Amino acid sequence: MASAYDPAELRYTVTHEWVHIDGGLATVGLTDFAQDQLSDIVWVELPEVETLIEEGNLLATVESVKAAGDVYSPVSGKVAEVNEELTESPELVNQEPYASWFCRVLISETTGVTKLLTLSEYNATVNTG
Amino acid sequence: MTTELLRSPIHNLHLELGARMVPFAGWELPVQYPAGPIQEHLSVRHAAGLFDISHMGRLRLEGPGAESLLQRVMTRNMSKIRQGTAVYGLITYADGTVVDDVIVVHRGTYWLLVTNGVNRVKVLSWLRAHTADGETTIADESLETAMLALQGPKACEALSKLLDTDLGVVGRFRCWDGFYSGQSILLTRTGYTGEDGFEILCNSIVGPQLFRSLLGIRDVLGVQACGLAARDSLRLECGFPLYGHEISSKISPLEAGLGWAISFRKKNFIGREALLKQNLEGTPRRLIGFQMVEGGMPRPSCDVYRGDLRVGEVTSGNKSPTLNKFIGLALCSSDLDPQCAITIEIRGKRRQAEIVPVPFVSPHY
Repeated sequence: MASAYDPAELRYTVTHEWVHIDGGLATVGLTDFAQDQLSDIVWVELPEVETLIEEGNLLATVESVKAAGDVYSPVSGKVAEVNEELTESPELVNQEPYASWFCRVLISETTGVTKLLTLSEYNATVNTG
Repeated sequence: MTTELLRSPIHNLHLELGARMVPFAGWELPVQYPAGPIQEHLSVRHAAGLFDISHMGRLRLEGPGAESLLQRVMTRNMSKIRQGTAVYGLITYADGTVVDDVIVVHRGTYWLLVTNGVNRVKVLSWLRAHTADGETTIADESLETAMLALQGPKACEALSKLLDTDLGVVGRFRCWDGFYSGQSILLTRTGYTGEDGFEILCNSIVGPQLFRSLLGIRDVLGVQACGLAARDSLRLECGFPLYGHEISSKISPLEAGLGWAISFRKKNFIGREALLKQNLEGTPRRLIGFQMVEGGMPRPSCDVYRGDLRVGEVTSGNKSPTLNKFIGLALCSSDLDPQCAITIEIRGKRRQAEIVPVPFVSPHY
C-alpha cells in the first residue's frame, strides 16, 4: 500500500472525494468521513484506464454491507491509472482512506480545480451537514 | 412528511455504546456498533451477539376466542401447539399473499404474537377486523416492553451464567418464565440468525439492565452488541425470508419456499383456498439462491437474466461474511433450469452468477 497523503494538503468536494493535484495529474480518493459513513466496504468498481471523464461524472462506485456509494470525478480529463489493489481488498478504503486512492486523472481543463475545497472548508460542510 | 420515530427502552445505551442509529420500520434503531457489521456478524457465528429487537410487535391475545381467531388467520394448526411452545407461521390474505410472518407463543392463559416491526399496526388491525366483540382482547404491549435476542454458539453459556440456571436442557422453540433482577422475564429458545439462541421479553426497566449485563460478560464469552445490518446478513446466509423482500402482499409463501409453514389439513383459514390452488397447480415464480461468479453487489430489484431473457429479480443480496462471497435470493420463473447460468444486472452491467442451494450457510441448532 502506498503511503497516505496528508489530509491538510489535499483538496475536497462536497460529495466527499479528496483530490491531490500534482501538476496536471489529479489523484482521487474518498474521505475518512465518507468511508466511516459507508462502513464495511466490500466492493470497489473502477473505470477503465483511458476513459474520458467530465467533472462531476461517476468515476467509481463502492458498495458497503449497508449501502452503495458513488465516487464522482472532481476534474475533467482522462483516467491515467486505477488502483487495482482496491478491487482485491476493498476494505483498504476503510482502513487507510488517504492512502487508498481510486484513480489518477490527467486533467484536461483546470476550471474545476479552483472550486475545490480546503480541508477546513470541507470539514465545515461535514459538520453542518 | 416527518413522523416522530419510536425509541426502544434501550436507546440511550445504544448511544453510549457508539451505535449508529437509523430509521427502520418507524423506529430509530442501531444499524451497527463501532465493531462494524462484518465483525458483528462473525461474532454471532463464532461466539455470541446481542440484538435489541424491541421494535418487533408484541401482541397479547386473551379470551375465549383467542385460539379460534389464531386458527382463522394463521397458516399453522394452532390447536396442535402445546402450552409453553412457540411456532413460526404466516398470516395470509385471502389471495394467499402475506400479511406478515410471525412467531406465536402459547402461554396457557394467553397467546403472544410477535410481528415484524413494520407490520405491527397492520397485524393489530387485521386481528381486530377478524374477531367478534368480547371474544378476544388484543393488547399491543410493544411500546411498554423490551425484547432482546442473544444469538450464537456461546449464547446458552452466557445466559445460563447470567440467570444462574442451566438452559442447555431447554428445547428449541420452548418458552418459559425466568427471573432477572427480581423481575419476571419471558424467554424463548428462538431467533432469526441460524444460530442457537434466545429471545427475551421483559419490561422496559429491565431491558437496558439485561442488555448491559449480557455485554458485561463479553470478556469471558465474547458477547458483541449487533445492529440491523448484521441481523440482515445473518438471516440471508440461512435463506430466511424478510418481509417486504422474499414475502409481501405481492408474494405468496409458496413462491418463497415456505410451504412447510402451511397446514393444508386445517380446514379453514384465510388464504387457504388460494394457497391450495397454487399448491396443486404450481406457482409461476419461485425463490432461488444464487452466488456471484463475477464480483459485484447484487441489490434488491436487480434484474436476473438467462441469456437475453429476463427471468426474475433479486429480492435480497449481500456479501456473505461467512463464505466471503456475494450471495442473494431472487424471485424467478418457476421453469428456470437450476443448472443454467444466469446473469444479474448490476448498475447496467450483466454479471455472471450461478444458482446454488439455499441455505447458503446451514443453521446450527
